[in-house]
Amino acid sequence: MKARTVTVPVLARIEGEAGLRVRLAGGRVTNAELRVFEPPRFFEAFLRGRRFDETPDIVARICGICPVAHQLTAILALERACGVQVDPGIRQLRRLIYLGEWIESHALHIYLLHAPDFVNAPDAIAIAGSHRELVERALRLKQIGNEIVTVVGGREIHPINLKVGGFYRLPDLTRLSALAEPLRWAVDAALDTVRWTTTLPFPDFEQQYELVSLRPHDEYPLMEGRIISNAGLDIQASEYEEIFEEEHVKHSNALRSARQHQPYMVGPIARLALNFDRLSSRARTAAEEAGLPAGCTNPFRSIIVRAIELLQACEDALALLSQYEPPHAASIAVAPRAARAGAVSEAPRGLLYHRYTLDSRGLLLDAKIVPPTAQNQKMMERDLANFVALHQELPDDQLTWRCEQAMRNYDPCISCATHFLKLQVQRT
Amino acid sequence: MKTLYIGIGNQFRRDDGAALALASRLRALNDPGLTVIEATDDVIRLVDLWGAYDNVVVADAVVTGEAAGTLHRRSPLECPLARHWFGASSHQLGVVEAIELGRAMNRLPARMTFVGIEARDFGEGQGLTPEVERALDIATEVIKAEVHACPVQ
Repeated sequence: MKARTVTVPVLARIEGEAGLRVRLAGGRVTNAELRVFEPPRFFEAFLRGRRFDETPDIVARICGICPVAHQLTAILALERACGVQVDPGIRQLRRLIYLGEWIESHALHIYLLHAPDFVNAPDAIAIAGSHRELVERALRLKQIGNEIVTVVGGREIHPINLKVGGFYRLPDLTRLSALAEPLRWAVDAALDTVRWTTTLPFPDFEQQYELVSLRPHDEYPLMEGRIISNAGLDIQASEYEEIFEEEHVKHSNALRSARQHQPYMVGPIARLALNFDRLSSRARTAAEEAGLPAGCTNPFRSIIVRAIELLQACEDALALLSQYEPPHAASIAVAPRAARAGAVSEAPRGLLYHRYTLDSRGLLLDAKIVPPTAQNQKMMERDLANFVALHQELPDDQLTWRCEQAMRNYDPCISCATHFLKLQVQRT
Repeated sequence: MKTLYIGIGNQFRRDDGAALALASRLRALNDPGLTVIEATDDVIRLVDLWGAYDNVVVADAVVTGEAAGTLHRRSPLECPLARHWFGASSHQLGVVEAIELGRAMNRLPARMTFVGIEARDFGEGQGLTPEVERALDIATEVIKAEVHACPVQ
């Protein structure tokens, strides 16, 4: 059989710059690469020597879609290092702004980035012409997420109100209350979103994954809990680096994560499968109606899972508004000490790990940041290889189109993934 | 007819703040027929504004290869803006997408003008290069003419 190569030089509708290449020879996939060529960004390097309390505003710049995830994960790690615990009201506000980011990010990906794959449209603009009501719904949902981030964080992208110890200023109660009505609409819109995603056509592609996510005590995962997997993993955040390793491969400017050299999956599919019993009753019913009671093992159906999480996020945000009790102060004082600590949280795309080492003056000696896309990268490549092996009868254009979709299933954020520290240059 | 001016950019990246500096000048005119806003965050939200005004002027820094300070006046209603004029953003949908989404959804205003301000320096810091700063004098007159072309009724 003739050798065949599927190449997508630049993937569209993802955050960041990457391409893919799959090689087939003799009916076998010999190589599948997610080629990340976005330049490395060296965040971990230039955090060294900065004051610990500068960190949240620096790491926000890793990503324009999930700055809150980076800010809060850094804050959680630094507060752990400094041995402080914040008031419940601060925790509520943190959850609220994080959920706002989930709503923004999931609405953007479901409707404007991922949906075109299922309705044979090149992009969201084409969908706006043929399915105007979907784009109207997407923009309003996204705007509600933006508004939450703005009210709590001061502005909608790269918020400026989060700090180690709490917030610079507590949000205005009237503006917080005003979020309830749009959120009530958003709950219904998210439910409609779940129902709409279940009508989409999906290719057959059931896979076996090791799924990894946080598992909190009594709520859907966001900022707390142990790290668990469906393969029996059950660890604390502080053990993260003992279990997961990072590797550098020639074709990628992002480090790839692995567990015992094997790929694993983080993100909505993992969270839902491992925390199905933590869903609200409405989200659980929606998941069951969508045919996902035992989780989802077809990554193309991740759009449904993301819609269920959108519903969960809207409901959780609405509940937080009614439960919110302002803390006595916007923040607590945090005195630095020589320490090293890590924290994990669930960014919209999956598990996010930050770890910092401080000296006694509060200067950062080192930093390690492992975003979800870097953790998924190896699994994305395995999906590519498996999909092409199963569907090699497809003509080149259709196979290429499906391979692109297989990457967008993960909502990859390449800009997050290329934050890393080391770049090896070999000269001969 | 009320006119909306939207200045897009980042005031902390030199010439990328040109349309924001223009917004300050226009606001200082205190013209009752002109509403001025700055868009420094999520430009896609502008889709909601297109339909709320009859006349919209959008300005942003562009790079087309012309001399710094060159002004480019375009009518997005007649022809989509060139994507390559704008810096690539891997994270956000930009002004071109916001306009094209508005077009697909029949939300664009009756009259729409884009003013591109040719930029040179996108380095860190505030302040415009002298050529760009001078161009704002003409840009202000261009937009005043737009407002007067559509007097408040």
